[in-house]
Amino acid sequence: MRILGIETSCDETAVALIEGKNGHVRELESLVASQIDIHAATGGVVPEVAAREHVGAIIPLVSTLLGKWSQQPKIDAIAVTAGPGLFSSLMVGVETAKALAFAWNVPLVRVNHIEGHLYSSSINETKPIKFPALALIVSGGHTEIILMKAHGSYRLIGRTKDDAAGEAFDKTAQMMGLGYPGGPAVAKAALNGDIRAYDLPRPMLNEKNFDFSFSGLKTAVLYTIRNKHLAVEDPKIAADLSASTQAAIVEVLVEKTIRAAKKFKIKTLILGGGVAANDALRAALAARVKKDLPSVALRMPQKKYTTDNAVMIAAAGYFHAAKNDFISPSKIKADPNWELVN
Amino acid sequence: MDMKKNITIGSIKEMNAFALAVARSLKGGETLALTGELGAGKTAFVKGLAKALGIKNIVQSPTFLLMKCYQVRMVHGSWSMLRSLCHVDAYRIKNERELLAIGLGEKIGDPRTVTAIEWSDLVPELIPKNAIKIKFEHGRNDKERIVTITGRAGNVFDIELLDSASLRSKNIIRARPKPSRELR
Repeated sequence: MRILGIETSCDETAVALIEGKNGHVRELESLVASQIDIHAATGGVVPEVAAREHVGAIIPLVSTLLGKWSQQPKIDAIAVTAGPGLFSSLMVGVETAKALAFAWNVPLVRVNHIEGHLYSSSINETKPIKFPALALIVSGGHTEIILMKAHGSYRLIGRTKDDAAGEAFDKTAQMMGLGYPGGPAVAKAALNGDIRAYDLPRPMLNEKNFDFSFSGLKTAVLYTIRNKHLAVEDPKIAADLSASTQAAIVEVLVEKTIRAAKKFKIKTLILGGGVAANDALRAALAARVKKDLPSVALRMPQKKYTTDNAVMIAAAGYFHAAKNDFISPSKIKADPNWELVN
Repeated sequence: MDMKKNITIGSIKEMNAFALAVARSLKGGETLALTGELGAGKTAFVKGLAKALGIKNIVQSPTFLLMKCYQVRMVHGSWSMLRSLCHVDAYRIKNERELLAIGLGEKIGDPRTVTAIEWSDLVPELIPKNAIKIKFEHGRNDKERIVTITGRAGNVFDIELLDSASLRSKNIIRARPKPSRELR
């Protein structure tokens, strides 16, 4: 079946079309407002779109997406992010999806943004997920460990108590004057750095729960710079501090995820979210799985699906649609606090 | 008439005591304009404020989501209309319009809402003249913070009577009893 995905939960406006068949999802087309020259893509209809200016971007984006075929493709369902996120942003996508569902007489699926990240590694993947599965979803706004018993059945195992991992990257990058976005900047600087150069804490590493805390690491980096009077403009110092910071973040994420994977005797480990693009995290997780959990399947998304996009939303939508898990357009609401739990 | 107060905070416990004192002086409609560099204690303060207002949700950093509102479950003082705490972070904001676009304009000054805005110095045009300004600074050691509160005298009644020593004392609440009630 062909699913149209719509994602407007925070900064990004994104639409996509996927083909889902026999439990596999394949991307047909994807448009993300910040990543395309929207002016050119919409034939000059829409001027430069700033973050969160969804209202102006959404319809031109949908038109442009569907205009890529000579005849409008048949759409079997529409999947839209209904939460979590910013209410004003979510509403644009939800109202657009409702209107299209009415106009085209097509069923509607409400998708949780975190669930979207969870399915990002299932895009263009032919192997089905073996349950139970455990997902580590890490981005600028979210850091959660989720147990997945079946498609649509989730339990929150742990989450951050303060800053998300992606935010930890962004803010420490700012302290080092490395620019935005911080994750890629820290990762790049870290390539030439010594992970043991600075002694940074691994917050909550030894606590028995599966929660995280990164604000303590953030202040530890600040104090390291302040108390040691570090000249962070010096590329060698920035490289070492980046490497040490990245190592601390990665170690906590990997250690707690592997511990949870063992506790819940899972068969599949899933990585998702913007920070899933980080090579150090991918490598460390892969190495630990190979060593400690050799029979567990590790699923990591292609890098283009790690940041917010509508392909992952359409993919999640497919698995709901396959079970006829639809919602009436008159009942769907944007929910900025929607928790992915049953 | 403006009132300015400096307080030294030596631990999370004292930060929570300070936040409780602020919570007890809120009636609804106030704007708390928070400033201070990374790690200075702005979010830690809001966490303490949420706890004092009976909010059970984990208060995470709103840097990416920009604004998160919580239902207040504990009101202090019989004249308090406070029902909602909105936690805003302007760290990623490039201009004030962005926050107005997400509905902040309706929250600021709403008599049933208290709005706490981190990095408020980045969006000066949004901050009302009667806002209570709270500045957070790193202290002499890694645990210590210096907090400076500026506001119209009378708006921050309990805080005027607050000082660093009383934060460490358990008598702070008993000294000025105030009826507090839980909301269902």
